[in-house]
Amino acid sequence: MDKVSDNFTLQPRMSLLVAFDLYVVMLGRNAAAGIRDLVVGAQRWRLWYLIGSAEMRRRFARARLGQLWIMLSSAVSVSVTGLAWAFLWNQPVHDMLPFIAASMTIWQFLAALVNDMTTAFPLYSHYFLNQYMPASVIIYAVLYKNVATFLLNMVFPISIIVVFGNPLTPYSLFSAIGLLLVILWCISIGYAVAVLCARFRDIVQVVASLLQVAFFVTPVIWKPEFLPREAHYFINFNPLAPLLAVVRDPLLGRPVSLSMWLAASAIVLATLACSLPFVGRFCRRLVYWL
Amino acid sequence: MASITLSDVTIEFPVHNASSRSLQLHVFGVLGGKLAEHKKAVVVRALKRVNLSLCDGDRVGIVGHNGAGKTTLLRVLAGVYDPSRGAIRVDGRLTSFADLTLGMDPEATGLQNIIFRCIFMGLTFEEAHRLSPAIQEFSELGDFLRLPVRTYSSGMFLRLAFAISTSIEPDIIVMDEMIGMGDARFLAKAQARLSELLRRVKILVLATHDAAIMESLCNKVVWLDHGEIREIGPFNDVYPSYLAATM
Repeated sequence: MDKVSDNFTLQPRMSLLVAFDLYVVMLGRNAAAGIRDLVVGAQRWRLWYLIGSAEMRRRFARARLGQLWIMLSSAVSVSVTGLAWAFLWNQPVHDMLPFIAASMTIWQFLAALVNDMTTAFPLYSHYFLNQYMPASVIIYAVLYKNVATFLLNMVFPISIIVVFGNPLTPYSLFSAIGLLLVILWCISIGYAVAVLCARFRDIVQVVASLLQVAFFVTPVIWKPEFLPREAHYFINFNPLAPLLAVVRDPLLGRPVSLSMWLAASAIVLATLACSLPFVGRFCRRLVYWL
Repeated sequence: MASITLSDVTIEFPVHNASSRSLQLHVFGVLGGKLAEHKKAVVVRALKRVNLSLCDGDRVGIVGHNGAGKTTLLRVLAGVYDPSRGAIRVDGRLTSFADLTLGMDPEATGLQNIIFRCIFMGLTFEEAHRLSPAIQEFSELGDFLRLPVRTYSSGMFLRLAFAISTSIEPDIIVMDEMIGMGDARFLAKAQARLSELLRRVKILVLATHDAAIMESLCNKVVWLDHGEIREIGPFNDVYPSYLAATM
């Protein structure tokens, strides 16, 4: 009895260990270089804070309403879509509008961030060419700008949620943990996309159209419950679905299953594991391509 | 104690044209084989097995015709390019004067820009705020400092950039051409400040075409030719032979 259960539990664990060892042996040096670049870049927070806020200032310096414009336009697009889709799906507005407002705002953040990453290195090349700067500083700068914009844009969906009778509870705080996961994912995927786009300029368009497709197959403007059982692979194999859910659902008071949290964490870990060696390999080469 | 050591440093630039920048063509080059000529990478060798070792007191002038690798060498020293072969070691705080305005933001005020530029030269916010009054005074921009920098004339902008950039005390300074700016009166003041700073700094590396400046500032001349060091030595030995070779 003992023996059987031993074999049973040991094997998957063994193969995981073997996979980890293989990873370290084959990609360890590059992954370590990637981690080093990210850490050194994070230590230079003053630089990315300044680059990120200069970008925000550049956009709104001479507009009287400043950042409010973005908040307004996001609020309008979110509420119009929310209303339209509530009627289209024949759903109660008080239920559908907060859902769509929250998920669209989160989606806008993700899409804008990945889009910004595609042009980040060519756009900020002058920062690299005259003195040493870890490439990740640019990644953090783009991230900083987008997270700041996102937090401002979230004011509207959160007030919609509260107005339609879903008071914020301690449980809502879980979406902050979800946001941390998403940010980690954004750093790893965004950095890889940015490096790839610096080398191959035609990827910029590919990423833009992929994002458009992803918008429709991810439960942004529809709820996972709307899918028929047999079409659930749409969300089961869509890495963006859990990432979206762990930020959105706690805010809406919708329960998030443990498996959802595990899925989101696994996606983040897997993306990091793929992205770190890639980024580590090319972060010092990058400047030759600009 | 500051020092710079380059051993066997080689820098090669891949030349990417429209087709090598395209992933699509890369994929089809692998699949079809017909387009495989795209894979022939064109490489420009900007520096070739450069060995150089500098220590405290060295004032190095770099000469060479256009494209000899002067700017590339300066960028290697500043840590921009990771050499494809060879190793580089720099001890000491290095500042590059290649772009005096790096980090400055036209939409921000002069006062804000003083802080920004200082941060980009490696200071903390506290250190930047401590330096700020002296910079404001030196720049002589007065109330203009409260206006966005985009309202400045280009002369005023450069004056501010100069005042900030020369206010910190690095161990090593790397410069591409001598900097000079402003009207006659400010120019004299700026030159006095700059030469004072360049005297105090432990190592100076300066690429310039101006023989008079090089003679007055440098005690060592490096002659770069097609990415290789042709000669190193005192000004009076190297510069004449460089001139003779280019005549």
